[in-house]
Amino acid sequence: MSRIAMVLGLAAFTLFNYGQYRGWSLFSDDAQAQPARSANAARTFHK
Amino acid sequence: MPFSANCPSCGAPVVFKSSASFHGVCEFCRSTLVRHGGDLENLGRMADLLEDASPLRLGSEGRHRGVHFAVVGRIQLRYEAGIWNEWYLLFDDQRGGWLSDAGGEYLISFLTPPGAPLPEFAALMPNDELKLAGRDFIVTNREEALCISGEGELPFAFGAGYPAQLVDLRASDGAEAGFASIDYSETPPLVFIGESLPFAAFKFANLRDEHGGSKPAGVVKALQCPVCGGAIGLHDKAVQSVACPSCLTVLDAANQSLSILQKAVAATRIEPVIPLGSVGHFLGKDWTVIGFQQRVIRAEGVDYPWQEFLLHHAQEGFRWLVEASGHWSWVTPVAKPPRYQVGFPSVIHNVVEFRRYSAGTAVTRYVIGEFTWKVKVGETWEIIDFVAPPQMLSREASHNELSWSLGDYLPQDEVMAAFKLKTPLPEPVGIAMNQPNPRAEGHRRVFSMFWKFLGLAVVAQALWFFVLGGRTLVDQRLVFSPGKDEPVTTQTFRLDKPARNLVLRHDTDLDNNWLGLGLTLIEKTSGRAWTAQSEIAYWHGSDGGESWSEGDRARELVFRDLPAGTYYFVIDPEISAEKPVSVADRIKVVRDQAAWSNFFLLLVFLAGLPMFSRYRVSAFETERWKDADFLSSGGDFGADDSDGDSGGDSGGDD
Repeated sequence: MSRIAMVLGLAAFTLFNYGQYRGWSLFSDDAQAQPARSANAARTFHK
Repeated sequence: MPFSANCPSCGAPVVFKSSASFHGVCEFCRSTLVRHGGDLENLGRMADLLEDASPLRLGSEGRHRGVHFAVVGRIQLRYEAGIWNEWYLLFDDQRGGWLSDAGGEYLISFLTPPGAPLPEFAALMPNDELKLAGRDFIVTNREEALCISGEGELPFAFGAGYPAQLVDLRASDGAEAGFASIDYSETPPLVFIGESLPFAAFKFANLRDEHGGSKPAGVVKALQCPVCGGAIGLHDKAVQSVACPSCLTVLDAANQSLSILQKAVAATRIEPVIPLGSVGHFLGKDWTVIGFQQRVIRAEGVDYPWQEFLLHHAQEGFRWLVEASGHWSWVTPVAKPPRYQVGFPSVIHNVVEFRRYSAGTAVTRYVIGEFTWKVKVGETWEIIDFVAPPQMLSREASHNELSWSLGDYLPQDEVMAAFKLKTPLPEPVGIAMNQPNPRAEGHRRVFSMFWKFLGLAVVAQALWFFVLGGRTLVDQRLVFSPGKDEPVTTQTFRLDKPARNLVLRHDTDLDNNWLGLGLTLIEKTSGRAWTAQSEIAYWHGSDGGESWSEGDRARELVFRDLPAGTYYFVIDPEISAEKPVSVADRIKVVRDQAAWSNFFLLLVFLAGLPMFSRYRVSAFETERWKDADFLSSGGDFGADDSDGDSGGDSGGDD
């Protein structure tokens, strides 16, 4: 049990750090899950 | 000063080493002699001593609490279950003391004023509590014995023999294994108080086995069964009875007469898994299996049998190896009995709380080999078992005796290794009452690991939050008004280096309203744009007196993997046509934000590990306790007697 707990603990800790690195959050929405890049955005907003 | 005179019967020299001794036995003609000043009076011939088990003899020496003593006399007593010796000791400081070596246990005691009037012999029962000389004692045994013989110097007149009503007590206070004995053969009764000590503690010298004249203790004596002629070995003269392994007849071995105590009654023969005579190495010593008995407790029509192997060591005395359903325990007598009143769900022994597991009447079903009491098939004891794994405490009581023993769980492979058994022992079945919980150690490790991971998580979160991220780039207040369709542009901000994530947080003052936002993140130099849609809605009210709310005034949106550059947001608001009011929005742009939610999710997951491990430990304990009697699981211990458990105490302790 302790070995399994060690593996699971390490995996969870690794995932936590990756999530923090990526900016995962339960209370945030991923902007890139929305329509990605506007097809003519550059043309519209380029100055 | 030693006193010396000649025996008036045979003329042999008789020496009294103690001035307190006025009674002696001539070691040559066994005349009973009494000192009268400088003369000796012959009271007649003393009965012969029965050959006994003791390694002691007259002339043996030892030490107690640093004071040297010599064994100068002894009396021999017979009781229902056999004989025992009381050795009279003379200390260098001229004190006298008594040393009893019954059943391989060594009890030293000294005549002590009781400090209070003593109850009548008939009024004392096992488990009664008594204060003697300011100390608390528990009655463990009451016997009507007969003093049958003696030798050497004694501090009192000794006739041809006398009956002695004796009560043994064990201290229930103090650290040492205190012992007391009350001798009702005199008026007022005599009280002796002392302690139980291991053989080695006395640092004995001049013992019997150091001299060729006496047969050493612990050496096998070969006899023949008078019924079947089978060979019978006696390993210790403390053995009081022997059940012939061939014909199962129980014989009296107290004086090697081998008279029949009980004819064979067992219908079926049981072959012990460890044969009699086997030698096992435990606690650094070799122990010989000299007796085997099977006992059984019947509960609700079901028999629960177990096997007991009596082990013998010449100096250490006797121990039990107990096997039940393939589980083994090393059982030692308890010299200092715990205080316990029948019916209570637990007992404290050596500061450990033992929980009551079960109780019942144990019946001896099968016996072979040697025993230190007059064993018989069918004898009964009231037993209560308590457990604190890996130990168990057993209380055995009869009408005149109370004894406690402590069992330590022994893994099966240790038993096999100790006896060097070639054939495997039966596999353990189920869970023994004192079996260590195999998941407990794992749980401790998991729990310890949890705290380490928790510490690591706190440090990591602190790093993510305070060092590696969370820098606010924009903090701006915007107002979206109805009727204004123009997109709003935020302040520009610079990403000096690529951002893993960029969080746009809206914090609005919405009130039963919604706000639609078209978001475009634009890199000023390249014109690259990232678009997203967001809707913020917050509704609240009360329904039937209960308030409710739905949605949130705030919302976060995360943009990932952005290159370095100068950015700004263009926000195109859409305000509800049903409630066209201005909405204030405080926006924050934060780069590389570390979320608290991840941290709490990690904590919840990590906490789940010890919780699951704890559940597994509990499941094992539930399985262990499913066979315990109702009292042990926290029932009403006032109704204890309904399971037939009187604890064997014939009154007095309930």
